Amino acid sequence: MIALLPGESRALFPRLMDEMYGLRLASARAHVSHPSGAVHPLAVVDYFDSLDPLYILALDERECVAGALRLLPTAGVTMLNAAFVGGLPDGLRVESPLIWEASRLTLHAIGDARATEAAIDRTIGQLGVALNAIAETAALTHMIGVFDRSMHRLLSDRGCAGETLAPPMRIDGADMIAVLYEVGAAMNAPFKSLAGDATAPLINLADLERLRQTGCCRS
Amino acid sequence: MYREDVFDLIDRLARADRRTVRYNLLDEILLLDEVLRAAGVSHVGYVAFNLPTRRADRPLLSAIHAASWRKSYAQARRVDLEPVVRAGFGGITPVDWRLLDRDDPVVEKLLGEVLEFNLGANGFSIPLRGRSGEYGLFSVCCAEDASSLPPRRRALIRRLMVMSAIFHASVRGALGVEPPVEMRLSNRELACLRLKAQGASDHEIGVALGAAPTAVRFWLETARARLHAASVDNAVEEACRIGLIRVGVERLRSVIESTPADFSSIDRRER
Repeated sequence: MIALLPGESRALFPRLMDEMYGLRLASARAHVSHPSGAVHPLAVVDYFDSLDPLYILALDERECVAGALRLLPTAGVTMLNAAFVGGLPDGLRVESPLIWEASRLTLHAIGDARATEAAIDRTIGQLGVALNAIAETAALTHMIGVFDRSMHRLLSDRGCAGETLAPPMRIDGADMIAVLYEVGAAMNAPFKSLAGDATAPLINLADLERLRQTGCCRS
Repeated sequence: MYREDVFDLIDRLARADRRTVRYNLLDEILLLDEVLRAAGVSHVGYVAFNLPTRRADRPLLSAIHAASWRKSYAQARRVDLEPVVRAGFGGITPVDWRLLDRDDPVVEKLLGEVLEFNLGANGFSIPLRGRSGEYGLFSVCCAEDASSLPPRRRALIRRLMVMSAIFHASVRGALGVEPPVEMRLSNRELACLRLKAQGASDHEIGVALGAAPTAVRFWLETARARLHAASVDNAVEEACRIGLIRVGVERLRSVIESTPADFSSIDRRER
């Protein structure tokens, strides 16, 4: 299942948020370069999490978070424009209502030696298909991914890396790469291929919570 | 909607902060008016919070709904309950009113009142985010049959996304949120606009510049947004008008030669 969680509603779903932050921590630990093994604090929660982004959460059969992505419109404050702008052409911000930023891609499989390639493929595929579906619903033209080098490599190996927009930049202790996707069938195809039959419906958790509060949700 | 309504909206927005409207918003408002009329929109509302003005704690609200509706809405404190407002400010995706749960008692009651006041029961709300960290919501009511087909619906949402962003930028300008800055486009955006002005297709521009059509459309879109134009064609016109590009003077070859050497790298996939 793919769950959409607006940042404003995060307090209503503390377990899911904790699991997502846990994945970020595990991912940062798996790729930490500092001899002490210390993880940069902003690798787990950063300023952009306070801006009420939209989280895409891939949930496994036990409804645990298997992967996550964070979306922010480039018309507002984004990681790309705040921390990456020096790496963009002519140092100009990318600012359009039709272009959003996807960042903080994390997967449960990272750092877990038991994870299978199939599990990684499935989660990346589900997240990518959901990303394209949300972008199409919002009538966007492009999505910019801001991913760390290891995630970018995972995506590249699977033909889902998009087009490199700017050279790598060091942000919060990690090398980050900005990539470009054009919303539509071409973006969807490689992710759909990875997801296979595991393509999941989108559930907006904020809507579910509202229904529960108003007594319209029977479950 | 009447044109005077849109002007009145802007006028009230400007007076809200006791500032003089410094920018000439005429073209943008006329365009907004035209788009909304074509889409069958009957009413529009706009609200913004956290604008970096002297009265940052005060939300900026304006709407062209009937005064009786506004009064009823305010007195009943509907804004605290309304699912559109909650979804709009809590999220970033456009809210299609048709997808609201109409079994929800709150929604049912609101829609009943909407019909009572002769407002459209269908519409869209576009969440807005700004570079200063402000939040906004731009809502339109449509006739019942508007935007019924999915392709048309997507086209309408895209136009509303663009127009609401232009409107919000105009409000920022009118309120003096940021000083007017010199219009500046990147070399890549200018190169794409120049070739577009010469009638080249996205594919031809990509071939000329050594970039994929995806990247070409991306730079055209960022140029459009930077110029606050409603479409890429309008962006080309605007770039010509303000002298950013000169069509007919520059030859295709010179455009290609003036392109930065690293331009072609943007579509190179890192493996």
